Amino acid sequence: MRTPKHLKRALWIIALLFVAGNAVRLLAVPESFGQFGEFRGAHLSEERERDPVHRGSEVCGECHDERLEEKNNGAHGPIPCENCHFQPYAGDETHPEAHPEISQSPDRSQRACLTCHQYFPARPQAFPQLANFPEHIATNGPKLKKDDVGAHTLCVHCHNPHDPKIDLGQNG
Amino acid sequence: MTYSEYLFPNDMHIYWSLMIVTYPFITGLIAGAFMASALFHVFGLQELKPISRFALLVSLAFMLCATLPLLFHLGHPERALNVVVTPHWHSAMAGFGFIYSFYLVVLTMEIWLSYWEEIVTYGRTSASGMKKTFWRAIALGAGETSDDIKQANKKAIYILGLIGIPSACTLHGYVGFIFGSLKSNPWWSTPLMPQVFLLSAIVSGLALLIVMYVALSSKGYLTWSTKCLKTLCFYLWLAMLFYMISEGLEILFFYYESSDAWFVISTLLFTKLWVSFVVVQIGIGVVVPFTLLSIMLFMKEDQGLYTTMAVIAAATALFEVWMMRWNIVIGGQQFSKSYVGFRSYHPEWLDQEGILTTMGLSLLPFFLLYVLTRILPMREAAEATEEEKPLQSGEPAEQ
Ligand code: HEC
Ligand code: HEC
Ligand code: HEC
Ligand code: HEC
Repeated sequence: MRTPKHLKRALWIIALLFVAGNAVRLLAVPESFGQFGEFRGAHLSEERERDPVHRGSEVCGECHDERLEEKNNGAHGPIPCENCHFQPYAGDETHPEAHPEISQSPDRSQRACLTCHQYFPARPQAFPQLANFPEHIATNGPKLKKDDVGAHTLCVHCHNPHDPKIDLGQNG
Repeated sequence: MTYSEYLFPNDMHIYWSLMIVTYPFITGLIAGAFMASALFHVFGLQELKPISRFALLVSLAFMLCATLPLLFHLGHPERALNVVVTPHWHSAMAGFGFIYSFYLVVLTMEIWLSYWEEIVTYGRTSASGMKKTFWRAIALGAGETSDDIKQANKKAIYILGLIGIPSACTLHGYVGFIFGSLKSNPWWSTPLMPQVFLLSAIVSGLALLIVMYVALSSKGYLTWSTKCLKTLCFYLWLAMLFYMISEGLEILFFYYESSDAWFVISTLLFTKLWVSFVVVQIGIGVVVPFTLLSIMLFMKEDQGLYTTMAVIAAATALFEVWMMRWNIVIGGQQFSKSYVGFRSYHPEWLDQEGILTTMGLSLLPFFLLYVLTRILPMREAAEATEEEKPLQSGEPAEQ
């Protein structure tokens, strides 16, 4: 039985689609793909050439040495300054050129502290966490003789972010 | 049941959302509907003739929507084609694009040939010149419908069906393969997984066809034949039987092996999945349709009760398969790798992967099916003349 015209044509079209599809596919493969493995080889050098945004606490310490020392001796010692001072540089001319593109103004919100200190079942139990922070503020206000506090009082109202631990023994 | 709560940080969130529940449900319907049509086209079950072409259209309508849940799920949908451009051959996911395209070609070809006579007729008789050109282009400029050609088409459809069965199986089975090969998750990691997925796919495809068949033929859109319904119900019963055996074996093995996996799986089954798996999926989704279908084996099919039971059985079976996708996909993420921490999933209504998106994506194939049936007739051309009442033949009156 001879193959009907329409079947032949359909097969040709499929063959054509197959070839064209593969040609497009091959053209779309990035040049350095597979150089080192299943990824674009040039990606490595591209990433390497990017300027680092964060520079570590030591850089800040070149000028803010007291602050660095204060932080390093406190409970937040291991935390880099830029973990909290992360907002994009807003073009503040008063801040020296040493870090034009890095952030200075810290996030003073409760959320900034709670990203790390909110209770979370996945955190090590020994890590200081607050299951109920409004209650934390309400109960600790009187201890510090601060009565003007409420659920929205900022953490930094009582805690020094650079040396956050409060020793109640001294305060009363 | 007591357990302590300890979740690993990377276990806090359920990443595979409703979209990943919807995706295998849709591909399952594709494969299931195709199998039903293959029973006629390849295995020559004449009883299924009334739905053989319609089943193909159902398969195509769902096929056209199959990738959407994945695109909604991806954080970078614009990179979706990378998996085809630079596939990683160690990853089962890399095969998706190729399997999908291959099956799409097979399915379109098969539909094209099944409708060959209509296509040629429309090319000759359509009222407007535009439509004529359209149908002639679809016919690729050819226009023969002699017996020789019909014979050749039939053979080609047979071959396409033969190729289509394994490709439909692969299209859906690879989803099960991916789940089954995730060795870090004991609820998924079993070689039975592809088989469970595939059998449930056939269940869902047949169930959907039964519901649609009864609904559409009662309105005269499909040729009503109690034999056809009976055959569909029998194969649904058979598919459910094999599906239940596989799924049952899976749980039985977990229980009998009693490895560390059973500790977490049993906890899961009795806590987080108690309602959705044990009560709803098994209690309602399996017991009800299987009991009904078993009773129906001994019933005469030409009574109203049979049809009612068929619809109830099919609807619950369809629901079962959806719940099964849910319990596997979501259930498998509800415990932490720590094996002692559990979490919950609360889909949102308006989320990108939320409930409204899911409903929209689940309705879209039916809309596409409606469009397809506006272009191509649902009924068999031959039947309209052969059978008793040619209610409304397959002419594209509305076009
Ligand atoms: C080259 C020296 C230098 C370095 C390095 C430096 N600073 Fe400063 N910083 C200054 C000076 C000077 C001021 C202005 C002090 C003032 O206005 O009282 C300042 C002010 C600030 C302020 C207060 C700005 C405000 O709006 O009140 C913050 C916060 C700050 N720096 C954070 C940082 C951090 C974080 C780093 C490290 C990434 C850093 N600085 C590195 C010199 C430096
Ligand atoms: C735990 C988060 C955190 C870390 C880590 C941190 N800071 Fe701060 N810093 C803050 C907050 C919050 C404020 C604002 C305090 C306020 O307004 O009372 C602040 C204020 C400042 C100020 C302005 C001081 C003022 O009184 O206006 C400077 C300068 C500063 N930080 C420098 C640093 C440097 C340098 C480091 C690293 C050695 C550092 N900070 C580390 C949270 C942090
Ligand atoms: C980047 C994560 C991080 C952020 C943001 C952070 N902290 Fe901390 N905090 C820590 C770590 C780490 C410790 C040390 C915990 C330890 O000693 O085990 C600590 C310790 C503390 C302690 C001492 C707890 C104790 O009794 O030992 C207090 C109080 C505290 N932080 C308050 C704050 C406040 C207030 C803020 C917001 C300005 C804040 N933290 C932001 C990580 C963070
Ligand atoms: C009203 C003042 C006040 C405010 C506001 C406040 N704290 Fe405290 N916080 C304290 C005092 C006082 C202690 C010491 C309590 C003690 O030692 O019993 C403390 C202790 C802590 C501790 C360590 C002890 C623990 O319970 O694990 C953390 C962490 C802490 N605070 C975080 C925060 C965070 C985060 C916020 C902002 C949401 C905040 N605090 C707001 C007064 C305050």
